[in-house]
Amino acid sequence: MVQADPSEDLTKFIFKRSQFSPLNNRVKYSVFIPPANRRLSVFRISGLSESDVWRIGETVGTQRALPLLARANIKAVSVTEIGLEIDADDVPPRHASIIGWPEEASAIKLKAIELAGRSLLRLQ
Amino acid sequence: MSNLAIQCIGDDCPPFWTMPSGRGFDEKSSGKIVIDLEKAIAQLRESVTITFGRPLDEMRCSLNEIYRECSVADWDSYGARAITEDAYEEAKKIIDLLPSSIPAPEIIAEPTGDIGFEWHKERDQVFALSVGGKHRIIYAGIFAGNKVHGSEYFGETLPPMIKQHLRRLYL
Repeated sequence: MVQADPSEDLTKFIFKRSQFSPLNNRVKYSVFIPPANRRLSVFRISGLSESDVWRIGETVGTQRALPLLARANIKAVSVTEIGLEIDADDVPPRHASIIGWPEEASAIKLKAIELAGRSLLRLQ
Repeated sequence: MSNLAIQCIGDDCPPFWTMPSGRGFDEKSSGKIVIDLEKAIAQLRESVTITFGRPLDEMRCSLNEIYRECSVADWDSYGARAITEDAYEEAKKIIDLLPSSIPAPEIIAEPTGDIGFEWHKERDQVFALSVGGKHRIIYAGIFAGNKVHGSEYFGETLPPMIKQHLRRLYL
């Protein structure tokens, strides 16, 4: 497993309106609840321009037939500090997965709340 | 005289309704008490409609919208589980049981198929719970550095532990 550098910037693309609050300028915790395979998809964006980052998101959205609405930026160190890991699988390029989730659903929810609190909302 | 039920968030709330003893007041004075009480109840009902009626409707609307959008599998294209009718019914029950003394939560679909309720006071003052139609409430919260998480059986009432955490956030 290739780990991301702690200083790297990551982003999670958001395709559902109910997952962020423009009014309060924040991301809701559900963005960071992992799917059943416990691999939360993110992209490593250090060194990329804003337009390059949005372009990646639009490509992902097109593949999933969902409109890209926003993204949640988060530092890799914010992920590792709370006991999670980043698998920089690079498939597709710059893709990574947040892994190492606890078993208990409530513990996962707590991690998701912590990640949401450490992330920054960027609107499309 | 009609009964008045007031939901209380604390554990130490006194009972609001007791059987009249029929002693201690004459007919005239007890009649005045009844009138005063009925006036107070009418005022309370009026203020409830203005202050709390709208958030309640908005919560129900938000829940309906989420159920409509997320009741099919893979609604997020990342393999999310569908929100079931049982989860929807439990979420409706949560809305009905929430104490009116706390702000309305934001209602969220979770990829697990649960319906979540989030109270976000500040970045480090957050509480969230979710239901998935299995008679369990899954909760987690951060209270200025203190972290909690767990699950509670969900039957006909809001578990005291959940009320306690909400009180910790808002009272």
